[in-house]
Order: sequence, then structure tokens, then C-alpha cells
Amino acid sequence: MEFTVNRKVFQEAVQKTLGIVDRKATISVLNNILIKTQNNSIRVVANDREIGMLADYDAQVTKQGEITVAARKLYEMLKEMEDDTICFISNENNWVSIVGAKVQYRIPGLGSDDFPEVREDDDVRYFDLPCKIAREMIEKTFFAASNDDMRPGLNGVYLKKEGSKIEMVATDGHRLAMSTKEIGNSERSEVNVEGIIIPKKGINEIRRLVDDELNSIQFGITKGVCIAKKAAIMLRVSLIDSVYPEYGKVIPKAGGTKIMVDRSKMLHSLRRMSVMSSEMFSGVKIHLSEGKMTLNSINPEIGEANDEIDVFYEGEPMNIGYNVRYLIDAIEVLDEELISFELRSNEGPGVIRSAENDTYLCVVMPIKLGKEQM
Amino acid sequence: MKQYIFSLHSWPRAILHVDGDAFFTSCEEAIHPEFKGKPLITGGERGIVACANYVAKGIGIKRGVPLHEARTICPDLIVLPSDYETYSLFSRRMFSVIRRFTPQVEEYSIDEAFADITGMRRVLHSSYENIALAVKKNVEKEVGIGVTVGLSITKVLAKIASKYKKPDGFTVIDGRSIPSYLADLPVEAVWGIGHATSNYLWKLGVRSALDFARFPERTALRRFVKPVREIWQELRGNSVYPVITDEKSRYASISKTKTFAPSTTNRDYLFAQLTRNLESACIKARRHSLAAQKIAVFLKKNNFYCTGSEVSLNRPSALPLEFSSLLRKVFEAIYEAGTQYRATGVILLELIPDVGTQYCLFDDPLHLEKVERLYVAADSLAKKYGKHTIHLGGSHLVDRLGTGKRGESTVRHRTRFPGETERKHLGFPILHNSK
Repeated sequence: MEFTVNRKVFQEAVQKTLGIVDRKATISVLNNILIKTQNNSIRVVANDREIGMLADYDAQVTKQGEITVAARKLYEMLKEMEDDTICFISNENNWVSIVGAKVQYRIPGLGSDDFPEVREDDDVRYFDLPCKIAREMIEKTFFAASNDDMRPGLNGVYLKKEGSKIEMVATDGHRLAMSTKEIGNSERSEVNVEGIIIPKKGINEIRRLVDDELNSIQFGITKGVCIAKKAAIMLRVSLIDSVYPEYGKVIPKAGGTKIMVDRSKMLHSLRRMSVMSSEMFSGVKIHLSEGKMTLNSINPEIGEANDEIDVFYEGEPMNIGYNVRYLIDAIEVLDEELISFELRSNEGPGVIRSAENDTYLCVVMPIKLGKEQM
Repeated sequence: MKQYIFSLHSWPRAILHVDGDAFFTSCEEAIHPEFKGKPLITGGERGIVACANYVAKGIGIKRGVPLHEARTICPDLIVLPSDYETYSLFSRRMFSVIRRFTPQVEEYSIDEAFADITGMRRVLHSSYENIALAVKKNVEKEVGIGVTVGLSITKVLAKIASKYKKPDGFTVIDGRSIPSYLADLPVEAVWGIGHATSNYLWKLGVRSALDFARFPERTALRRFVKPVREIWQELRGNSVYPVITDEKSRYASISKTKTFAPSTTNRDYLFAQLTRNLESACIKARRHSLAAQKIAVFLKKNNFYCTGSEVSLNRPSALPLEFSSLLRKVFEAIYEAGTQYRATGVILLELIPDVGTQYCLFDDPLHLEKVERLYVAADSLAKKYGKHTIHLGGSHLVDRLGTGKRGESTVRHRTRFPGETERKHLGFPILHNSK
């Protein structure tokens, strides 16, 4: 096969597959991407059997054919070349040449026979999802997803759509992040999603797809996979087949002590506490008293940190411990400058929201601090 | 090759490795003088040879051999049940003798000690060689068991020295004589070099310990991971492993296994033993205020094949009640009906200090509080009435069907002095009463 293609376009095309191509695969063809020619275009295919990607790009095809080639090496070669257009040639012995004006690379490829196909389903009903919304929702939930052998259902992000309302949830059992958004009444928005779990790696790829502000993706579900399409790119992600916990039950409806606090002040203070934290000691003690919040973090291996923030609080003093990382994660993704932090004594959940709207919340379970910290 | 010099100084440090010779049987010989010179083994309760004395070793009875095979080799073999209570008393005495020479003593295992005697020459008015010899002589005289002593400038080299001639050996490897001891030593015989590392070294052309020690510095830094690099340093005479005197409290993992004789196919009994393993491991973890983030579970078949599985816990814990249902799940997945099993084991992995319990969204924090309080109570009852006074229902069969020890129990176990209970014994061994 032989084609000429814009180097920048091709380089970006290969780059998009790098997250999917399985570098540790025992079947060597899975370390590769499939490149095949069509009429005046080429198709780039990546597949790790969980996630498949198809993408078409304009190219001048002079000889039809298909070949698989190591994705990372191909990317590195394209990146270092300077030519505007390059020529890609493979011969019958599966040797691949990438040729510029003066540069010439030659690497061995592999035949496409064993490369697992990425199916193109034609009976899928899609709805339009603006990239901006999708990206925001992913960023506000993804961090809370788990790595859990016992509960595989938690190792992904849960997605549900009813009419124009979309909900995304992620939890690791210690904290739970939820983002809710309304999308405009575009014509196909009557397509509903009853609740699917998209694995973390798949969410990562979708996140990459929705990187720009202006466009929309088409999103649809069929037989255990979800499909996200944008322009000439199609992403096909196998869903996690598991029951998602009834998260509605663990989101407190009312009660608790609500304080309002400046986002950046709180965040910086927590980061100062996290200097003391290690994998083993990650607790921060929050002490609330009239008008102020005192933070304290002790790590017997390092030392101690103390800080204080002014807050509006009238009530009995209270002490609650949290994993400092969980609080940072929850607050970091907020855009608004004023946050609402709802605390409960007696091991009850804490809830972090924006003070201005309720499109996002994060429930964080406290930790019981050791005696020396109480 | 032997002219290669690693250390210009003879004694930049002086480290002793004291290793008991056939320790368990030596202890038995010390309390049963009439058995000296006769073939003797311990491990009767497990059905395999746990330790054989040198007479038994001389006629081909090795560690790990099933009892019936050992008896075929030698019909007059004396078989004793393991008496760990007595062995640990001997062990403690051995350490206290060594401590008279230097305070820096590491209790490496029940029968092995490292001792750093650097700088003790002037205090003891003696050369390092003579200090080492005095340690050996005093242990043998006062504790009554034979030991082998290796003296060198790093822990790894001291260990090589004590291995060089055994039993009743005394080997000195000073800085200048390192190469002559390493030249004929295969690299896989070095302490800390396992199967995988030795295979890797083999590929790099390293055959002997000397080849390894002579590996050029630049390549060593690039090719070896940190633990291997440290052994490489130690072999070259640069001491990087300190002699650690404090009692071990930071464990990477805690494992509890149980071998029973005869082997069994009984599902409930196996699960009970496994639950008991879990309880014992958790007791140890709680004693050191540690919590596990992962547990591994295995069953050993009669043909010594193991089946097992490893699971991550949602939250670090050392409370058996919290993962007993998990244990059941894992057990059901690895247990094969009708198979004879000879041992069970539980390993607590990725231990971290148990500070602050992370509460979970999907279970009740009050329940967790209760479980925690329950184990505080269980631990205090255990102090008074003995381990496992309160245990899970799942492990109760162990108490009903026995712990799986065969044969007669030890003399120490059967004898009680006034005031002693089954759990609490006075700290001294019983000399055999030859009636």
C-alpha cells in the first residue's frame, strides 16, 4: 500500500491512539495500530479489546492495502520529521517505509489478519452532548472512581440520562462525586440512558475526545458498549457489567452544620496540610469553633501542621477528621469562589457543594483519627 | 583474579553472624543428654522432618522429608514433637550471651543473630577474632548448643563466613581476603539473591559471587534494582545493612500458616483453620497497631502445590469480623472438593500503621464502631485467658476437632508446675527426667 498524507494530521491521528494501544499486551499485534486505505482517505484503528477507536483522515492513496505498525514508534518518527507531507509505503513482506523529502524510516510491520476488528454498529440511537458539558462532568466525577478488585462496578463512572437531564457519578466507597447537567432540547434528546458504568480508561479516552470547547459529540449505547463519535472519529468502549450501588441513599438530604468558605483559601490551607501527609498518614483534623476553622495535621514520620481560616460559624465547637486528599480533590474541581461545606458529627458524611448552584456535590466520609490527634 | 582488592582496611566494621547448628535438635539434645550421638529429629506433630540433627543428616535424613520415609531410612530414629516454647527459651539465652559482648545485637530469627562488634576491641582487650571466638565458646558452654560463627565486615559477608564451614565452624573474612571466599561461591548462594535475580545475573555473565562483586560500578547502578545493588555493595565490603537492635515492629507483611497432620479433605475444618490463620495474623497486626490493605489466602495440597488468591481491601483493617465474608468467598473460589490439603495460610499484605479509620459510604459506621470495641474487649480477654478465647464461629471447629497435631505433645506441654496454667508457663526448660 502507498499513500501521501499531511504529516501533522497523521501525527495527531497516531497520537490519539496512544492511550488505547496496550503496551503490555502479550499478543504483539495489540501493540500496533491498523492503518488501511479507502478512497482518498486512510482509516486508523486502535483496539485493546476494551476500547476501540476508528478514525478517518484525508490522504492521497496511490495503492490500496492495510498494515499494522507499532503505534509509539510511528508517533515518535512522525514527531521528529520536518516535512509537510510524508509518504507511507508498505511492501508485501510487511516492511513499512515512512519517507519525507530526505528522511527515510524503515520499520517492520505486522499483517492485519490477527488484528481484532472494531465493529461499526448501525442501529445505535445517538444524542448530542456538548463537549463543554461532557468535559466538565467528567472532570468533576472521575477523580472519585475506585480501583477495587472486590467491587468492579466502582472502577468506572456511572452515567444516566433522563430527558434533558444528565447525571454522572463516581465513588470509591469513601467519597462520592456527582455532577448533574441539563442539555439543550436538541432533536434527539428523547434518547435516554438507563444507567451505565463506563470504565476509567474509557472515560479517559472520551475526555480526550471532548477536549475542545465548541463542538458536540454524539453519544449512544448498544449491547454492552457505549459509542462516542466526533467528526471522523469513533470511540467504542466496553461497559462494566455490574450493579452500581444505590448512591441516592448515601447523599444526605438535610441536617448537618453548613459553613460557607472561600474556595481558594480552603484549598490552599488544605494543600499546606497535605505537605505533612504520606500514604500512611493522610488525615487532617478540622476543628470548628465560633467564627473560625482550625486545621491540624500530624504525621509521626514528618511533623505537624496547623492553620486557621475565618468562616461564618455559630455553634458548638466540633472536631472531625478527613482524608486531606479527598477534600482537595473535591474542592479543586469547583469553579465557583464560594463553597458550601456541610459537616456532621458522629461519623456522618460531609458534603461539599458550590454555594451558588447544585450541579455538583461531593460526599466525603470522615476518618476516625488516632488518639494523639483528638 | 584473587588479587582483586575491595577493601584496603582489614576491619572497617566488624560484624558477627551467629547461627545455631541444627538448632531445634541441639536444644532437644541439651535437655535430653541421653540422645546425644543418636539420630534425632523434631517435627513429629507435623508428620515431616522439621529439623534433623547431624547424625540423622549424616544418614540422609533431610529437612522436609515425610516421617515414614525418614523411618524407612533409619528405623531407630528418635522422633520428637516440636517444643517451640523450649526452643525460644534457648534462643533468648543465646541472644543474652551475645549481648554481653556488644549491645548491638539483631535477633534475626530464632537461631540466628547478627552482632556489630565494631569498636569493641579496646573495651574487651581483645582482637575481633578473639571476641568472635569468645562469643562462640560462651554460647556453647552456657546455653549448651553448638553454634557456627562468621566474622566479617558486612552482614552479607558475615553470613557467607558462617555458611563456609558448618557445623561448629568459625570463619573470618577480613577486608583483604574477600575475593578468595567469593571466587568459588555460586552467586545464587549469596544471602538475598533469589531465583529470579540469579537467573538475571546468569544472563549478564555472572556465575560466582566474585563475578557479581566485581561488576563495574556504572553498569551495576544502571542494571540492578536497589535491593540487588545493596547486596552488591555489601559483597564489596561496603556495609549498607545496619545491625538492627530494636524489636521488629514495622512489618511489610504478616503471615500465619498451619500445617496439619494427617491431611484433610474436610471443607469446614479447612475453612476453620483458615479463619484461625486470619485471626492469628490479625492479633499480631493489632499488637503492632497495623492494618492490612490486602490479604492473600492459600491452601496447600498434599502434593505441596498451592492454590491461592489475593484481594485488595476497601479499607485497611485488622479486624477478622470485617473480612470473614470475604474470606469465605475466596475460600470457595480456591477449594476443590475431594482434594487432600495439608496446610492453610493467610498473609496480610501492604500493612500500614492503623491510625484513623476511614468510614465508608455504603456501610454503617456504628457497626464498625461496635466491631472495633468488640476486638478491644477480645484482646483484653486474650491477655487474661489466652489467645483465641473469643473467636469467630468460623474457626470454632479448630477447637472442637483439634489443632491438627499428631502424636504425643511435648514434655513441657504435659508438665505443669504449681501455679502454671495451660497458657502461662514459667520461663525455663525442663531437663529430661530419665526414669
